[in-house]
Amino acid sequence: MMNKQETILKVNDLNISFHTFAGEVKAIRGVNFELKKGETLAIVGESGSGKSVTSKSIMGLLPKSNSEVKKGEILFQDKNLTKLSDKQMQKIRGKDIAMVFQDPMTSLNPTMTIGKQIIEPILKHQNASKEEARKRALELLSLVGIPKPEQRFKQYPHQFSGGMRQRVVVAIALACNPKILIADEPTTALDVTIQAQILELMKDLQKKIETSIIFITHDLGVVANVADRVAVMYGGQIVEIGTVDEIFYNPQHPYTWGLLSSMPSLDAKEEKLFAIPGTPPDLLNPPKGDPFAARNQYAMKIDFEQQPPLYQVSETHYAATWLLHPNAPKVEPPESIKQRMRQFKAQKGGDHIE
Amino acid sequence: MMKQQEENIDKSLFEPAGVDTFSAEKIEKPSLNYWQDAWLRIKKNKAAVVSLVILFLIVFMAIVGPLISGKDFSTQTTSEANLPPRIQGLEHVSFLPFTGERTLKSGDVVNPYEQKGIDHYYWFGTDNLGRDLFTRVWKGTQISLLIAVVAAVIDLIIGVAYGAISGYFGGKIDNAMQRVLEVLMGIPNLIVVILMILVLKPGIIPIIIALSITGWISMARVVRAQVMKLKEQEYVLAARTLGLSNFKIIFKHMLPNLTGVMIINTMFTIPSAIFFEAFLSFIGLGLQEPQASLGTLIEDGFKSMIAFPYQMVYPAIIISVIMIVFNLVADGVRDALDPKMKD
Amino acid sequence: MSKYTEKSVLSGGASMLKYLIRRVGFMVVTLFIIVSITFFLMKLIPGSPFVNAQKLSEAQQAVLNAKYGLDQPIPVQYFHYLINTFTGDLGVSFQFNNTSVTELLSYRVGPSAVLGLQAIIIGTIVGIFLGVVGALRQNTWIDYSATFLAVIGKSIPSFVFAGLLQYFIAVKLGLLPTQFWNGFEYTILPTIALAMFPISICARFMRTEMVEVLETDYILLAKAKGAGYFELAFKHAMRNALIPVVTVLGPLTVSLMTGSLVIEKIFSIPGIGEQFVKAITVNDYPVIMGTTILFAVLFVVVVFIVDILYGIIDPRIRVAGGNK
Repeated sequence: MMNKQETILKVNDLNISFHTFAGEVKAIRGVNFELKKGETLAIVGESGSGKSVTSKSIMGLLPKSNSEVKKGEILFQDKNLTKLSDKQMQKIRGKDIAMVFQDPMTSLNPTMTIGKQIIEPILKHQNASKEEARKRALELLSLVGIPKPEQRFKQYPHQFSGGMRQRVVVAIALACNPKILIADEPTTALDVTIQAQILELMKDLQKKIETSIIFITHDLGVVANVADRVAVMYGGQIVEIGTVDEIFYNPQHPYTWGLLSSMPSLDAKEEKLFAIPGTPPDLLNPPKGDPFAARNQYAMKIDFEQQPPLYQVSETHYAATWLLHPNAPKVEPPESIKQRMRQFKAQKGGDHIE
Repeated sequence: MMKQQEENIDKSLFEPAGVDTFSAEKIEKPSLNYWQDAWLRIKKNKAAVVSLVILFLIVFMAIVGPLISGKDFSTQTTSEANLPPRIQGLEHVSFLPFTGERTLKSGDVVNPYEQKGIDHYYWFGTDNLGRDLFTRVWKGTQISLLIAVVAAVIDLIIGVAYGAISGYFGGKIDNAMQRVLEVLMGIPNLIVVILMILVLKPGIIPIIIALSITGWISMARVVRAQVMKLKEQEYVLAARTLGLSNFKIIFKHMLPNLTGVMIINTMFTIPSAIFFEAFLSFIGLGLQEPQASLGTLIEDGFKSMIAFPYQMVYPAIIISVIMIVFNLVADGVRDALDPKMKD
Repeated sequence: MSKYTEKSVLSGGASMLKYLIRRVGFMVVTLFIIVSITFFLMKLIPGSPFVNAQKLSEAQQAVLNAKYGLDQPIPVQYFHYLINTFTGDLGVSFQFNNTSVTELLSYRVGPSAVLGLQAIIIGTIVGIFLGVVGALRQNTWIDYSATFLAVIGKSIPSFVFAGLLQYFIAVKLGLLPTQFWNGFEYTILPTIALAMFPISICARFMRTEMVEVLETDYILLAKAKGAGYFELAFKHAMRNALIPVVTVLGPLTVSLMTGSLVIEKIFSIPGIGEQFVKAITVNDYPVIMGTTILFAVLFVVVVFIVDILYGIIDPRIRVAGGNK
């Protein structure tokens, strides 16, 4: 389903550290991925895996006082975003790359009308007159499904419900038709029903405006709904990346197995809900091998010694696990994973799996 | 984006490592209780630590000062009035003000000690009645601190009781108590204090009473807010289910968790009381002769400020230092005990 | 949808009115209580209020008592007192040959008002500036100096400041006058002394609010929309941080009142504070009571105005919405 599309964002060997009282926290340790035009890439992981840091670094929103890009580049429109000054980044933020945050209750300025907040990026980036900007803002409000836009334009955030506010935030993000939309857990703070609406909205808008979306989440159910491709992050690294079918139905990394196993499913045979034991690694002193090793029942000795390279599983599917090394023993993934793999093999070469 | 390296890796490394996922659940950081955590954070705040040390020094001097000077705070020796400060050993250090000399308006420098043939030393000089200022200053500090601490303690008791009852019982009781509080807050403390002193006549006890009457309000508010937060905690519900009486719940369970806000508020009440007492003395409603407090000393000193500046300077410095130091320590304590500020 | 918005605007208006009425009610009740307390406390003071009472014969005292209505039963006195006070008649001063208290106060309001206003204006502007600067440059030497200045301003009593300023600048250096109130340069030192406390309170509060606002999501979102540093700081952050600072005006007014008593005394300024202190020394009760009530009214009115102001400035209160 994916043709040869152009790449609009390329992240190469990104390494980012935070300087804290306790020492240097190596939050991102060698992240690589691409984003193609018009696609939705989901970045999945636990808290502390580095997904938020990655997205914020693309927009240059990490606090300059204690964060440092130690290595690597973020290539966008022939520029390396990590090397741009703040002034240069200001021209890109809100215009070419836009962001939607997690909590709609705190993302909007409580003392400014939402109309003003929407026209702000329009006025700034598009040389429009106030009248033109207002018109556009009203269009956007309709686009995101907010009725009676003229009235709503003059209202304040506290007069909107959570779901409505998030729609406004989406409207603000899309105001200048950005090439990339970064959505950092946009539905986590919302009710499940509203969640579905917002996701529908985003998919819809993506078709209309042809934005590429980076969708950050810890909820695999959401991923299945919106993503074309998925990157799984752990301990500051991408441990597996592939199309949504490949990740869900042919996962290779034990961490991905863990994530998929802990999804509650209606036809699961087990009675206990699976949870990955242990806690995320301490990034002050990151483990030298596979970051997931300490919590991995399939870990081998080498997992504690060296970081696994990214092994190619298919043209679009890569996993960083020593299990794919020719010398590695064959292991039995959990039953639910095996079931998925069987489905995958059955449908291989065919279309999308339901 | 592909890294395919076929290295020659020793086959033995591919044996299972036998990871014990149970031990993976261990939490690495040592767990500290509330007070240890707070203490660590205070220690990091250098200003607060230095201030605490200075505070101890001052309290120490307040107790010890009047004893070591060898003189009494109320003895008047009019022949030795208005002597500038002179300290043995430092009297020949010309840039320090302890030489026993003073500069007259005409610009001449005289040494009244030599002029009058006095051979003992007054470390902070004497006032216009010939009383030793060193003793008076430290005695005054004693009294100021005493008044402030007693008033603060009374405020604590009343405030905690009011706030705890109001917050714990909620509903109509709380509503009524809150209304009263709101009205009381609308009355400026200054006025109540002045009026009370006028009625009760100045003195240590009346000042303490006047200060206490107005000071408990802030404590009550803070305690009430905290109690209302604690009320929602599950251990309170558990205690109620077990049949503990309301009174016991407030005392055994809530009080220990209130100590944080109690300490913070008290640390701010004390300098406020010191200020008020000094202020009252300055406008003439303070302690009477021969009693001394920092306020009365500053007021006395002010009268002869131009001719004998030292008479006002020393108590002024002491009260300023006390206030600054208390505020810095209070800030430090509040930052350390406020769980919102967890790093 | 339109029904929803109409209703909320209506209920917004209605609740605003309710709020106003409540605040006015409070004001009245508080004033009533203060006036009553003042009256009863004055009555409790032992001894005669007249200067040199011992020198007067019984008959003379009786005449004076009758003249000032002091021989009537307390409830009657109270009643008269209330009526008089609310109609602006604060009695007659005991020390100044039958000048009405209201008249006395009105002569003195001028200098105190000028001093107070100057102090508050300077205090808030300098304080807010320090607070903003401290917040923008957190944990640098600029921040520490601003904070330190604020602590000093808050801790050192205003009369110590006043005394030091008077001694070093006026007496020693002779740069400014030491006392009295005869021109603009006479107001400089007292204003500085009186402004120290407001500066420190505003600085601390502003810094705290500003830091909190700077860490919010909406500021981050504004940055994500392409806003630059100054735009973020002033157009977005400062506006929101300033709103709560309005509440500080209440305590500031109190500090101005306490401050004015001592500073006017030190600099011999013919204001209300100086007269109050003098009245205390000679037990001139009508003046004491009158000034007390004046201060109380001032405070209560300021608090009331602050409450209303806050409701107007903060759209979350002014425009009632769905969720609060």
